[in-house]
Amino acid sequence: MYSNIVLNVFKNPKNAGRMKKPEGVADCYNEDRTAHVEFFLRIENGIIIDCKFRAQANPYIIAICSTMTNMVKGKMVSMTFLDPYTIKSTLGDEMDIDIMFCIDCFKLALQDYKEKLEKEVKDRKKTNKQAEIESQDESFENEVDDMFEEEIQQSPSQIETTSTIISEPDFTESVSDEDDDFDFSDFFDEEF
Amino acid sequence: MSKEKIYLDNASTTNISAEVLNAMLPVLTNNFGNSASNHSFGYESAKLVDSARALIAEAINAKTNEVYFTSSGSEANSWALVGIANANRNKGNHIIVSKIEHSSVLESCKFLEKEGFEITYLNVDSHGFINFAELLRAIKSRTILISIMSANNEIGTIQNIKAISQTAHEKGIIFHTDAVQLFGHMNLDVEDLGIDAMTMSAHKIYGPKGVGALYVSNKVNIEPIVFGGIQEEGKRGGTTNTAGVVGFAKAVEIAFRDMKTNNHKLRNLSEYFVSKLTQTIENVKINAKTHQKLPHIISANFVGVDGESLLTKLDLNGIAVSTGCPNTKDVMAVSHVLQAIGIEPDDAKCTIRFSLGKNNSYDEIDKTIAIIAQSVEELRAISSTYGMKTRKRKGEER
Repeated sequence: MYSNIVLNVFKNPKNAGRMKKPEGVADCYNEDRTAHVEFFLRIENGIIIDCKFRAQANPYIIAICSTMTNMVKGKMVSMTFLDPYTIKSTLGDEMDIDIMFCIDCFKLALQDYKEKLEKEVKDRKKTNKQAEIESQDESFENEVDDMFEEEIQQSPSQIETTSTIISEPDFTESVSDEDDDFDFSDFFDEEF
Repeated sequence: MSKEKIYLDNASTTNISAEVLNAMLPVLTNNFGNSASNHSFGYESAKLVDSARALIAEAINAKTNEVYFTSSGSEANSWALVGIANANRNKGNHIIVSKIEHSSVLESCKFLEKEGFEITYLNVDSHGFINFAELLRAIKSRTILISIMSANNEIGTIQNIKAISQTAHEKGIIFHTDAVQLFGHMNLDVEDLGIDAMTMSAHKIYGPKGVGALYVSNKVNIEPIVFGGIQEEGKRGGTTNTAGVVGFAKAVEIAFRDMKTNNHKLRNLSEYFVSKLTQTIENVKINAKTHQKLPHIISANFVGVDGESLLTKLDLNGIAVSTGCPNTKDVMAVSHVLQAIGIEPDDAKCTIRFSLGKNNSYDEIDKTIAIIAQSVEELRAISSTYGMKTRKRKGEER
């Protein structure tokens, strides 16, 4: 028996589907190979602007993925913290193993993004050296490492909005109401 | 979409038929006496129980005193395993079962293992048949009991019972079979088939729930596992469920009377269902494709679609089916039967069991297939493994 909340999310899962050329991607089987999930991340300027999932799994996991992907949209990568208790309270059901499985897989997707970024930085560093660009004092790696902090310093208005989203997530409304979630991508296009 | 519900889970349980209910109602209202009591109320109940026992015994060609009523098929299975094992402990401590037995048998075996018995679990092939060479190799001088189910509840495979019982009797071993699924679909002559103990259940053949029966040959020793009480010749205590037993007998009577027509109908319906299913939906695999099986149990593997999710989608549309692992509500459980016939756990999770009944119609099947097709399409659109698996399969073909 699934609760009505789980069933409603399962019937119309949000963010289900595939994403072309994602910045971060990960797929994993659970421990006993009975479920398989896949996460796609679209990240621009250190902010998750879109997140999608695909799953061959039971209704619980599909509901968890739907809720989770809704939660992380619009958050900064460096500040994305997935709280299992929030997901649990949103769906109102006990399924710790499934939630932890989804969170772990999502973390792998973030990891994938970070690794890609590091690799990109290294590659660019190499090409920079080869080309023997004059500005050797400021290494590119530092630039990217400080990217998030710079953003925080440069655009304080931006941080306020993201922090409100983190402190008061509106996913409960978007799950219970049929109303679609807030479209962050439009918002960020204006800003950047 | 119509709101009418469609029931395609007849291997789990069946609806109680009107004839059975009509036979039971007067017993429930009038014959409340304890069949073990020494007064007119009791005598009347005892009479009903005895005639029911005689009818069931006749149906399987057994003697009347060889049929014992229990509360369920699971109880009968547990009793057969534990009771026979304990009663024959002086002869040996080795028992042989197959890997695809019902959980009541497997769990009883686990219990017996703790008690000091040695259990051999026989492998099965991709259709679910046991290997006779392996059976012969498994038999030891200490072997006292072989228990192989006659028809499997998840894939429907019917074992060669007669051959197994002959093998057992040659070595002087007792043979028990769990015939819950097969009983009522086939003539089971215990004398002819050489069965020493057989489990039956009422609610699989349009009878009431809460009644089962165990046939135990007079030649076989069995110890009780429910103590206290003189019922069932002191072998199974507990006041007899008079109305249930009467309903059971009526259900048996109807099942054996209509066996030919029902089997014919079920075979045609199932063939129609399978052909339509495989034509309409691509990448569907039917498990255990053999002719020696119960036609109405269809185990289908939908590539890339989780069985639990598909079941939920179908249930939301009013269609009742079962996952590949029917005996549990644990969504993470993987069927031991499907694993035994060589299906990987991630594929076993993509399995749905359809079990048709005599009340299903062609119209219902058409509706069901349409809804399955739609649900499968929806789930495959968000499936993370569908493309991967079909690609892998194509690669293997090349």
